[in-house]
Amino acid sequence: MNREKILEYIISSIESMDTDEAVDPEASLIDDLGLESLQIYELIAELEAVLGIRIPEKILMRVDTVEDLADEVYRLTGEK
Amino acid sequence: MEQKINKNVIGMWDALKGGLVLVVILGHTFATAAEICQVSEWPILFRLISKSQGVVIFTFFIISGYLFKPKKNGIGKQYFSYLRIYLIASVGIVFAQIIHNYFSGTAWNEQLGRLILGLFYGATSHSVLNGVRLISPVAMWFFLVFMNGSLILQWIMRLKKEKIRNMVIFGGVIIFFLWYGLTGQWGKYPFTDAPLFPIQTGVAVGLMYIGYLLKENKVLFRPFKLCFCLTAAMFALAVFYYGDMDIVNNQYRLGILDWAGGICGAVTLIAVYIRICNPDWKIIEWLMWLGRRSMWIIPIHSVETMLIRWDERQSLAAAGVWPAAIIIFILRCTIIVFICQVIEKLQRKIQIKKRKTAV
Repeated sequence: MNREKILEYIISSIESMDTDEAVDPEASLIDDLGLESLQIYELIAELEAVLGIRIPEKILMRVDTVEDLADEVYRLTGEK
Repeated sequence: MEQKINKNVIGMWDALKGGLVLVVILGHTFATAAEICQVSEWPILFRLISKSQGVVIFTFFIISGYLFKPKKNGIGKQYFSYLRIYLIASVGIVFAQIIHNYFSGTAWNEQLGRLILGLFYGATSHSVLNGVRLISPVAMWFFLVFMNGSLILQWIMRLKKEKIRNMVIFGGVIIFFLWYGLTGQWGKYPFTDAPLFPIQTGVAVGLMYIGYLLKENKVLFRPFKLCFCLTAAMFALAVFYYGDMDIVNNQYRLGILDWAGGICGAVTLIAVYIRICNPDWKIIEWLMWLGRRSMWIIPIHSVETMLIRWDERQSLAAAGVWPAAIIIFILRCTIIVFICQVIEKLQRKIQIKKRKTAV
């Protein structure tokens, strides 16, 4: 999966979590989307299952926006 | 030029939650070790950790409010995702009681009715219903208060005028403290014993709303004035020393001053944490692991306490209070981490199965 597809997948997953508005790639996971730890954890588990990779916890220290998450996950798929 | 680190990331907040969860478990462990060893005078660290539980709980609610986002849709779904965890944990606690009964040679249903009532009533360690003393399922009160508090805050946020929201939330808190102070109930455990912790939830909603306001006004990441910080910290320390907060039993030795001091203490703690901690530290990564799972760790901690009954492990008394505390803490953390990993593996399997079914 390329970066754009990963980004699209993440956006559709977040939208399915009942967010009220369309998800902007530059939206902050906390401040704009108000995602909770449990939801982010579910999203990460879903990405791991879909992409067949392990996503280490520590990437969440660098992830602020939806795009950041897509970049980190894409980098990990390249390292697989 | 050195790149500025963004600390407003979910990992940083999870790490703080992880640290708070550890302090709560440590507090319960110290109390158990002191009980086993029948220590009359608690070591200073035991007293300090025990007394800091109030500020820890306050901080937890304020962080939850900071991460809170008002929603138009999906409130019910979010509530039921918490309720599901509460129900799964309740089943776990009931099974833990049955296993405990089996190994202690008593009837399989010994204390079971009082425990189930306690789970659905929302019992504190002092709750009595129609003359029957209920069993308090350890830390589950926190889960109920958090779950119901989040739902109530979502409803209150639907009020369009901020003034009315402030009046509802802070007015509720002030009415409670007036009632508490004027009715002569001060110091009576528990102050009120209504089902499902309505007062505790009201107090928690106030704290969550303060967390929300901190985010909306971007207070935490602004440079603070030194004199303001020192005043807040001094006030928090004075209240910490002279007061006593027990949110689960609605006990506040200094009344509303305890509440205000607890907020000052919690906000100071968060502000210091943000400024001092570095996301690259290894310990932050470990704490983040715990914090991300805090909504599971609280119920798991309740289950392991009901199952193992550390206060009945009298053999630990011979080791002395400090070794007993260290042993219990290490064993507790090992059990919690193990159960967390089992749950995660199960969740992953369910996820893969769901995906295969969808394909």
